[in-house]
Amino acid sequence: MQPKITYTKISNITIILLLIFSMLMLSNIEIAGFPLYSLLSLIISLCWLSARIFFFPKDGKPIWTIRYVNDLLVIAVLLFELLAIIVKLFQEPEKGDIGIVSNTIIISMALLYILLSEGYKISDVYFDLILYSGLLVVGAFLLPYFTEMQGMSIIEAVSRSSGKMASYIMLISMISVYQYCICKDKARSMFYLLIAALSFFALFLNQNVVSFWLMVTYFIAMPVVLRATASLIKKDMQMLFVFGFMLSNMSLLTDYTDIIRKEVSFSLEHSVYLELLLAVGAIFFFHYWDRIPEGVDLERLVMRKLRKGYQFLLKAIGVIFTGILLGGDRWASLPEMLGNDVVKGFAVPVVTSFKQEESGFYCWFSQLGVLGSIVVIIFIVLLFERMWRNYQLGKPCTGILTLISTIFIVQLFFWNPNVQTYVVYFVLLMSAAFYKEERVHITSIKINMKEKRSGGEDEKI
Amino acid sequence: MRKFKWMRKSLAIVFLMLMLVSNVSIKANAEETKEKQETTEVQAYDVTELSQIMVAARDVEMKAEPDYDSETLMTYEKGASVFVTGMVEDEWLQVSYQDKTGYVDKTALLIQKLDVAGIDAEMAVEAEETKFVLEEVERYRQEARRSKIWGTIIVVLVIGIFATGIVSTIRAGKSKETDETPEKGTEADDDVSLNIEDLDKDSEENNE
Repeated sequence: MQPKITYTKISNITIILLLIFSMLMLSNIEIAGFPLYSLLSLIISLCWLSARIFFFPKDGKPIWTIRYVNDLLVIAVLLFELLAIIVKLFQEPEKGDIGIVSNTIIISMALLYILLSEGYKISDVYFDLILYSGLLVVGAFLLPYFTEMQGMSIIEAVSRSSGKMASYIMLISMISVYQYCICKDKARSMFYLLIAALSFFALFLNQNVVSFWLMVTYFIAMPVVLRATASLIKKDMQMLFVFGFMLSNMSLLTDYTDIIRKEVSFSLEHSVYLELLLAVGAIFFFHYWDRIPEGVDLERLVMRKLRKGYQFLLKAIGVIFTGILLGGDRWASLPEMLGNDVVKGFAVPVVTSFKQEESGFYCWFSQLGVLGSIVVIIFIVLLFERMWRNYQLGKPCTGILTLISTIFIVQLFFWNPNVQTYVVYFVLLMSAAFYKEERVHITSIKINMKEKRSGGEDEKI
Repeated sequence: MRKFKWMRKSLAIVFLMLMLVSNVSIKANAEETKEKQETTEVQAYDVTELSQIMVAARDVEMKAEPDYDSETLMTYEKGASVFVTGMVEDEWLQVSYQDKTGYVDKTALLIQKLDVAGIDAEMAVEAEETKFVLEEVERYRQEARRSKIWGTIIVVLVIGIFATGIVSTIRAGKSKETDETPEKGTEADDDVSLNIEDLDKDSEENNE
């Protein structure tokens, strides 16, 4: 007789709890001086560890083995944080000390690493749960922009830093776009489209220009990281168009209506440039798209040349973005030449957004010191490397998680996400690095154009 | 003898009653006479009725009678407003203050010049302020109404999206049971698939 409670069920429930962790952004509850999110993360990770110890394999295998350098680092961090807590309990807190809260969070993340390194699949169900919880958070974020309601207190606190809020909203946007692209059911696609549109709207109201660039990068990178089927590219471009169209019309909403109560401003001139860019991009895209013959199954048609085009665009965006950031304030003093106004219009807001926020990188050094920051950097680099080694073209789930995790790591150079968002991203990152997904094979088709014109059949190989 | 005693008693009673009645009537008459005297005294002055507000040109006393030697009831300061109820003998003005009536030297009071333009301006400013307040109240009411509407729209939108998701999940779950499983390829790992370059080559060969 199979036991009712298995370790797999407990793991699934724990992962679900971790993925909807973001809903804690709606509350500002403290228990005995500890924020609820820090207590919950510690309790969840300890309960899961206890369950792991209780349900360990009967053939005598150890609960966990040290396989990689990262594992050693995690052990070291765990011991260090435990020591730090013991020392802090017996010492008076110094000025600027953040107390035991940060230590408990690091301990819970270390425990989660140990447990998640077994490799868990983040299936569609988990993505949908993230979206459902994200819907509530995004709704609460939008309320103060349209009503007199002050919104939930922690949303207000978090939304004062546009980067922290952008980090979470981007997660919702990225997952909803991916789900829309792979979904075959019309009603479900509508659900993903609505969530995506709502999250785009929230992202625009948040007014962090760096997040707009990162989202565009995501749209371009998706056909590179996943199998570039015509169906995926079509839906991806639909989403990119929705994103661009909404962004270009935000100036009409903010500057010509009184609907939005807070001070949000978009330049009408930049909206026009963006629409021109969309139009030019569409011309190139449809010129290539029209060459697809009729009657071909778009799910099995791989657009390799277009994929190469996307790879080129990705590299170009990377170079432009890096150039803008390295240029800094000098962009504002570009000489008056043809087209320089457009460049200024795109470059200056990026630099301004970049300078407004404290990067995660900086926060590590300010909170953890030099040694702690070096440990974190080594940990992230090794995990990043592991993740890309685990990636392969025929693994859609791993592919998208790898892309989302990469964008998360890039975000850390621009802002420091809040703890609730860190946990969700961390779970996705660990799944991308450790889950051994089976590669998906597709049946390929070859179309002989001569036979097709003479009414012949398709040849399958 | 008895009859005589009863008669004497009844006569005494009648006499006493007559005395009592006459006493009451004497008193009533006395009061009437007094009132008459008072009214006679009041009506002794020829009062031309007025009803206006005048201003004291100097400190002036309000007298009980239109006579400088009569009792002073109160003193008006210079600039004080005085309610004039009548004019007596062209020299005195009958004035009223709270429930007292007195007399003031006519030369001490001046007709108040109303600054009509000033009053109009003050009234206009007050009307403007009242209008502004009303407009502000109306604006706040409209803002509150609009805020409620938008809050309802956002909540309905979020609930609608939730419902769409749940309904589509249930429908997708039901349709999965009836769908056929897709074929899996058994060929090589390389994703040899349709390539647009192959189509280009085919079309070039066709043209030749």
